Amino acid sequence: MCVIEVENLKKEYRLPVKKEGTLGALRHLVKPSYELKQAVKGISFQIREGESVAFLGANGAGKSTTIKMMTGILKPTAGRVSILGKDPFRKRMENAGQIGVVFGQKTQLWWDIPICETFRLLKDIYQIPEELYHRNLDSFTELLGLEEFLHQPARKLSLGQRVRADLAAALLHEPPVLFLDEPTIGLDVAVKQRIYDFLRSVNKEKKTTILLTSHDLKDLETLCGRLIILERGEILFDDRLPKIFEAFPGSDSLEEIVIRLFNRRTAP
Amino acid sequence: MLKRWLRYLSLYWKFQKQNIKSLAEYKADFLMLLFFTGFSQLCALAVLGILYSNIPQIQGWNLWEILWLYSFLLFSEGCINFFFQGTWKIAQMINAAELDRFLVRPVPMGLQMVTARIDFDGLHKMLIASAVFLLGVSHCSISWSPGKVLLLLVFLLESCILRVCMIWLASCASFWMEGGKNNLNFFLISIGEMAKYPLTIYPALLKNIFAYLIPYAFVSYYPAGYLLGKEGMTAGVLLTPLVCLLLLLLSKAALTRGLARYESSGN
Amino acid sequence: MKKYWGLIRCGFLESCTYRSNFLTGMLANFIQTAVLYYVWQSIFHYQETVGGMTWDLMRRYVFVSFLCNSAFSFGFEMDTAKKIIQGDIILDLIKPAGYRGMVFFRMAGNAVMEFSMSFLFIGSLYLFVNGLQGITPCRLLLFLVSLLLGQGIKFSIQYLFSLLCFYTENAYGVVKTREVLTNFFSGAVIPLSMFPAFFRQGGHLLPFQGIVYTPCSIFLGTLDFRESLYAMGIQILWILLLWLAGSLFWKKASSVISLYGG
Repeated sequence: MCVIEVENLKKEYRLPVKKEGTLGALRHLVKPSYELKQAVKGISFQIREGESVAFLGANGAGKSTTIKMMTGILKPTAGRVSILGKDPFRKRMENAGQIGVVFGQKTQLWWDIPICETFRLLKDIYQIPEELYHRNLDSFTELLGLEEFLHQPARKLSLGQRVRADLAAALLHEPPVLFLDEPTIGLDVAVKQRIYDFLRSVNKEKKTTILLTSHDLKDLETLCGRLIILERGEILFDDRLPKIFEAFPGSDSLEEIVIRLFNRRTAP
Repeated sequence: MLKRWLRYLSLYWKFQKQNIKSLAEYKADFLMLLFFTGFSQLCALAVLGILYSNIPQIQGWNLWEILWLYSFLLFSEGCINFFFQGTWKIAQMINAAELDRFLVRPVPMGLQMVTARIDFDGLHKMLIASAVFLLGVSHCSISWSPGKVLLLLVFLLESCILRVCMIWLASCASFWMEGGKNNLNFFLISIGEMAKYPLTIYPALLKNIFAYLIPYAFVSYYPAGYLLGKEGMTAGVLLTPLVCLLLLLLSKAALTRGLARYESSGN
Repeated sequence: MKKYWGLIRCGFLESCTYRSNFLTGMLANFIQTAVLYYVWQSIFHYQETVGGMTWDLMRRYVFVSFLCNSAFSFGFEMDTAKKIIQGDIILDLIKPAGYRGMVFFRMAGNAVMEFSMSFLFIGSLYLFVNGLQGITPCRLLLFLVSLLLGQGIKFSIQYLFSLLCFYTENAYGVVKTREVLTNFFSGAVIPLSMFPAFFRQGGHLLPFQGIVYTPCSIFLGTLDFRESLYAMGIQILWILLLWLAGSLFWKKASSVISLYGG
């Protein structure tokens, strides 16, 4: 069953063109000019229930943009996105109830109140039934080791603690789809391992579909069965992870292949 | 339908409760703000006082009536600061791409944005406004009836709605601006300066701007003037609900259109 | 010196890029002036003189006070506060140039833009409404010097207030207080001569009058030559005092930075 359907998805930005120097700045003051930047150039893919997919790409390749279009943050310029049959932009609130999102660089938690209070607020927001809430909360607290800082406000947490709390927050309402945008950025190896174990168990037990963007190749190798490589808004590769070695013979590791691919973009 | 709105109300209250809790962390700040506000208001009132120590009236409005006018402005301002302070933070949230976390939650954006922040200073302002109000009213000749009191409450509600929408619209302009700061909020408050004095001192052009473009006249001038029994206020007072409705619709449209343009570029 | 020149250019470019900002600041100032203009106009309808001034004088006073307020009109407390919250302030602190110097030259760059536009705009408006009467080259020169001194005072005061941002999250409160205080005591809203005795004396003891009231009085001829020089001397004295206060306060404030996060 197809949980996520993306068809010919495009995103363009209008960027102001600023010219150098004082005269240029004055000219921009009077008559600004813009250029069109294509972040995502018409990509298509489908994801089935329970799949674990990784998005890989250099900075600016369009990974975050794609995820943001799938979570209802950005409006696509063209094309179609469907998450469990719903358009994430047009039916934002409905879609929001069925997804969980973790942004590695920004937190979902309320900054100044204890984590447990944030969780309680989320319980109200997502209208999570009492029993399910407690069951999940206890389970996540144990799996992610949240007890030590459950009563601290987010601003007092270290990055590792914060990401763990964010993960729990994203899954409290048991969404069928989970989006992770660079979740392990800046984390140490021990925390990363804990998170991998957690995600794997969630994926196995609850058949949660997981979509992950990352720069960290270990993330991808550990968690994901399928790999989609984005480059300058286009899909270069979309298949099961082992197949990449067939596509790029002569390389021993994923790292090598990735470096080859990214170097190609700067090649003449 | 009703159930949905009741749920939103309950969520609003829960968000604000958390805001209040987090304020406890910033006590020193809070006291400083109390001081700043008290002082600013004192100066503003002193200006009016000094002005009137030199002259008896401006366009038929004496000191007490002007104070009364001022209290309408101040009260609605305090109301925003306390109940809807998030509107002030919108520009910042847009530029720092902080709206993302709101967008992925199954709660209306408007509700989340408006409760993004709370300012206890708002209560302070409303208190000062009430004091000024009572001061002015005790020296004005108004014959109060239950009908008039009801009207007063309606007027206050309307002026709060108008003010919130105006700041909302000014903040939402950030969706259309390329990065950087959006100072329309502050600009809007500066224009509020004009609303401190009776509308009639301005030439026709400005009067029209005040009624049709930036409807400050409906926030303080018409309601205060009507209750004081001044001439020419009835039309304004009757139009106020329509203006409120118009602004509310514009605000909603601004949000919808704005979100379609939202680029979430911040990190 | 070259780095300072670069900063000025930077500030100038900034005000070009964020054009909406810069226009907003100027417009806000213009609005306040316009309000005062109309208020006074309606007042002088009923009375010939108010507090010793005629409509003729008052009208010119209003225009000139706009000019005095037109540079540095926005203030940089919000910038400072934002930088403190985001922790960027550290970047400013470790740079080799003195912090205050950096801020000053950047704002000066902004100010050049604001000032030239205001001068053109209000200058022409003034001449249109009031004509050339009463302006002598000597007085004009004195006025311009006094105006620049006033800007120095304005900057120093803004600087001191911006340091308050190290102590509080509420930059807006700081801005509003500074604005209100300055507007009140500088004579921007009501000339100090109209204040009741107690406030007037207090006002003369404070630096704010140097921003608007002193230059205006010089321009309008309320002060004769000797009195003008004396007033300008007071302005210079205040700049020095405020500069010193700024340095002392800076030492204290920069050690108070509290950092967030992990």
